[in-house]
Amino acid sequence: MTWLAWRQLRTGAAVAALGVVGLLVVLAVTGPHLHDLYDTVVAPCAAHGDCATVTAHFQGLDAALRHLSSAVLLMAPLLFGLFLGAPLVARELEAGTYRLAWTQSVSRTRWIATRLCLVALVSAILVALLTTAITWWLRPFDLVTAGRWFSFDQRDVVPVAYVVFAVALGALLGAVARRTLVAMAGTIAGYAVARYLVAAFVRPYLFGPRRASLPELFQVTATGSSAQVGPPQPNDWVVSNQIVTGAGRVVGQSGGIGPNGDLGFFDVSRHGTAVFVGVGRCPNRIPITSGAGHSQDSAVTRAALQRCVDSFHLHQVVAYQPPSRYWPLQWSEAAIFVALAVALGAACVWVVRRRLP
Amino acid sequence: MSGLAVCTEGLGKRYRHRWALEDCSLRIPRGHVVGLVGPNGAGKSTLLSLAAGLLAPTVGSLEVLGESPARDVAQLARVGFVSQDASLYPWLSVEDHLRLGAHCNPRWDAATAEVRLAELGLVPRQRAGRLSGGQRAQLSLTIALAKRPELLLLDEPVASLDPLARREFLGLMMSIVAGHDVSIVLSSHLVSDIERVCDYLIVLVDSRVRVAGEIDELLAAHHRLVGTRSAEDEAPANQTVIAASVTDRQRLLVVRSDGPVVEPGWVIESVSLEDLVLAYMGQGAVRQDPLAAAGVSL
Repeated sequence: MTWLAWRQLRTGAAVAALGVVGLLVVLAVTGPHLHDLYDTVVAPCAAHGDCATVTAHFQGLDAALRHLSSAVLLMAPLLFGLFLGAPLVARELEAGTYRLAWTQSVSRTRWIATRLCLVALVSAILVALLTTAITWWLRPFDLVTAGRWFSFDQRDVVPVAYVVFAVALGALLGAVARRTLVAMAGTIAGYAVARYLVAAFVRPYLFGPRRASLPELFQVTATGSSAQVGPPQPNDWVVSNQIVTGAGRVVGQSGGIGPNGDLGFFDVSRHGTAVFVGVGRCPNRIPITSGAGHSQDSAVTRAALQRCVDSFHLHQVVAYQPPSRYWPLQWSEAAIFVALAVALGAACVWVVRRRLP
Repeated sequence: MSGLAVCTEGLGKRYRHRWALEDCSLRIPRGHVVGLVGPNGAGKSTLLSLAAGLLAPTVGSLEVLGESPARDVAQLARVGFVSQDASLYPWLSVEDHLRLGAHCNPRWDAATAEVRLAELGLVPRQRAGRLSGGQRAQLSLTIALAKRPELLLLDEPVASLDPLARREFLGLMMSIVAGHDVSIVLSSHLVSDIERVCDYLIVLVDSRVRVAGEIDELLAAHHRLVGTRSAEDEAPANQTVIAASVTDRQRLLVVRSDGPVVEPGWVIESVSLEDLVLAYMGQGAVRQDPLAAAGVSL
């Protein structure tokens, strides 16, 4: 049975391997120069000053290849699910070849299990090669941007788990829908939904985020107001960033006032009473110099508004994941997707055994 | 070991709202070449797919060679199956199909399969997708036979073949039966195919079995009665009328009787297999015939 499983996979695997090897060659040719440049110019620049120019120039290098490799790593797991997973059972049902395959002296359980495992294994190996190479190639850029968390799902181990998941999802949908095209469409939707749900609702909270309370530096300036916000460390992944009053009331998200993180506004009446929009009524009166409704053009007014702001004792509450959690989260998310893949694979075996044709 | 190739009891298969096979009870002994005949859509493929273990029954029970179909690998190895359009992998070559068989079957007879393909003149490196209909059917049969099955199920294997290819296929099949101890169930909608090779007949119409038995016995038990139109009111006694038809001048009946037929006023003739099959195929229609309302008991 392994022979048949491999024979059926061979062509697809060869095409995929050709693409992977082609990209690996390009990366192998261009990568050493980038690493060399980073080690000799970008990294030591801090000692000489003027890092901004060097960094900006470095970040402009190989832009096309950078975007391409990021896109490849983002799409590769889904492509394997679409072109190797979805047709796995559906194609046999459409072409009628299941009647040949299932009347040989091989149980259906063994038939589907062998094929599923082999496709998942080959896909995982190819994506692992891709991920390793691209992670290595992009490393100098990642070090410059210090944005390790932003490319969490396109680096290291999670793409390998994604591809195993995508293949199992495609195979199951193919067995249920019995149509390759329907299975492909379902795989796109299912993969996107699963990835979104995990990224939005599981990854940030899998390990309880650390919390930090920072004083909010909310400055009333001549042109309006400005808030200074930021994570505790540049490499932290900020999961949520709320503005809280001294009384404990949440008045803003994303480092500003209001649900969208806007900066604060004041609504000043003609009599000098004022409202700090979204926060509360100012305890002090705001002296009006020009008689207009919104007057902030004098230092006296600004001082009064600042006093109003200070009276609320605003502070930021930041929930964040420190860099030390990067690898635990990589392995945990990989484990989640592999577990989902195993469940989907088991369901696929059950469908092939019991529900088909 | 059971002496039955196929044994079914109240077997039925329903697809959503339509019964493809209903209330099918059969006891097919081993050692026969069974012809399963009926119009298109009568349920022949369904019955064979059930026997091959490709379908699961909705109701009833089914045993093939004394075991439930596709119960385990050993049972799968005992049954060979050739599907309606000779399902093959179009992009696999002829020799790849033999390798497939060799890797997937413990009792694979590689030598015979290769010799047979050479005799058939199939190019080993040719892709199955480029074979003619006759070649596809021959390759399918070769794969099914190289399993060395005890029972061979052939679902309309010659339906899409031209007369010459049809003759060659059936000839190959018969030469194999002669050499091996293998039972065959062959479905077809053409009586001539059945007549040439089969010694056991099952007529399936509208998802129900109309008649089943050894062809010799069936032919001996059925008669054609030819009478004048005026004989209409004399219903033949202790016989079952299978079909009745009226022309301008005479009246024809096909009857079944286990004893000798003595009917004054009727000319008694033996039936051909075709008459027999057509009589049973038309049976459903006769019931709605005005003639039936006129007093012909069925």
